[in-house]
Amino acid sequence: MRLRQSSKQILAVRPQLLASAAAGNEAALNELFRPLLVPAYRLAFMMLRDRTAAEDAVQEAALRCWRKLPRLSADRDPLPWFLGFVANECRNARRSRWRSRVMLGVDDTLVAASGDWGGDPDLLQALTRLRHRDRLVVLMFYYLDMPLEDIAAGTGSKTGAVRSRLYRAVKRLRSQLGAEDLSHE
Amino acid sequence: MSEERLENRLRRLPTLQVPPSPWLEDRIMSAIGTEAAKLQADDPRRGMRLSLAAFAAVVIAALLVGLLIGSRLGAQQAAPATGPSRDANVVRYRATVDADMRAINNQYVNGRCDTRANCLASLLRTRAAAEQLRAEIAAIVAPKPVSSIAARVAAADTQFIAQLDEATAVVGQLNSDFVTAGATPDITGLELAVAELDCWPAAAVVGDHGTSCS
Repeated sequence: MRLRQSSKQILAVRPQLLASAAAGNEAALNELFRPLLVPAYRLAFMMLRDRTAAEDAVQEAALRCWRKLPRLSADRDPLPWFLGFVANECRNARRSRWRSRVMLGVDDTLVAASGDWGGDPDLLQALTRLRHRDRLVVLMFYYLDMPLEDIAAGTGSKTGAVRSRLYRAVKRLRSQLGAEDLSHE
Repeated sequence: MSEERLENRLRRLPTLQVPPSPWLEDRIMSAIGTEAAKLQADDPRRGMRLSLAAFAAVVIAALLVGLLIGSRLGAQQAAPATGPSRDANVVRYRATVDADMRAINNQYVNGRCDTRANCLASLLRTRAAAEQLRAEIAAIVAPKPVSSIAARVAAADTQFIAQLDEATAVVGQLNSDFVTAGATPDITGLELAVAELDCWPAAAVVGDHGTSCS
């Protein structure tokens, strides 16, 4: 029934809950993972721009995350930690799509503008031209509204490094969009 | 393009809709469940190792809680209390409300809307849990210091029940969009009211990732 994330649930992680979830207890798994899946899917979709690929990436990330649950400390917010797995899976998905295109001649639908999801097509197109890590930081900050500290936790970087990356990525976006503005004139 | 204009465009990103993926949660939970069952079948020692890990985690948690309580008690002697009240009546009342709230949350979070029948059953179970809280608040006299907060909890619970009833009516209609209707009831107001009770005399603070006491 619930489609929104319960952030209260996300932070209510206790050692017993983690241990039970790691042991495969259904209720614990539900309590821990369900609230994480909606933001994870939104991020994966924005990274990959393909619903099936995004669903697969989130599922693979959830399985990897579950296998590594014993490494998650009880005082750590699981959302950034989980989104780190999702980001890795998105990168892998892009790589495998690229390989399939090179080897089999299959179209890379991931970077093709679908045009059916509205919004700001120029900005979305410019986002797809950013490097993986840059796009990830921009989406986590502006799309998921995550604080820099959480982004750093999720991407395994320092807060200062995330801030610089965000600054550089926005600068790149601005120059790309600025060039497009000029070409439209 | 000016920095401000780009910033505005980026700030509008969260309003973008992504294609819905209604069965994703169930699919993933089922995949993890299958993986867990497979691993346990493959390696019976893993279950024992995880049980030991669980036991160790519980012991560590108990030690941490002990340390926390010890340090709080120490701090309390030096400075006035700022956290949740330890008044016995308030603690008892809070425990009753929290137990009911856990039951509501459990039904609300774990309810499924994959079919109309499941959706209806989830809504009704959540309503029953919310009704239990309403009945308990009506039956037990709240300790005087938290009586106004208890009234707010009751009001928020009543409002939540009304939303559940509305959603139930829509889900019950054939050909209605039961997935959207099932996701309509909003528990936030009730959660916040209960958090106020949990935190009193400190205030409940809503942050980026949940509610905490000031």
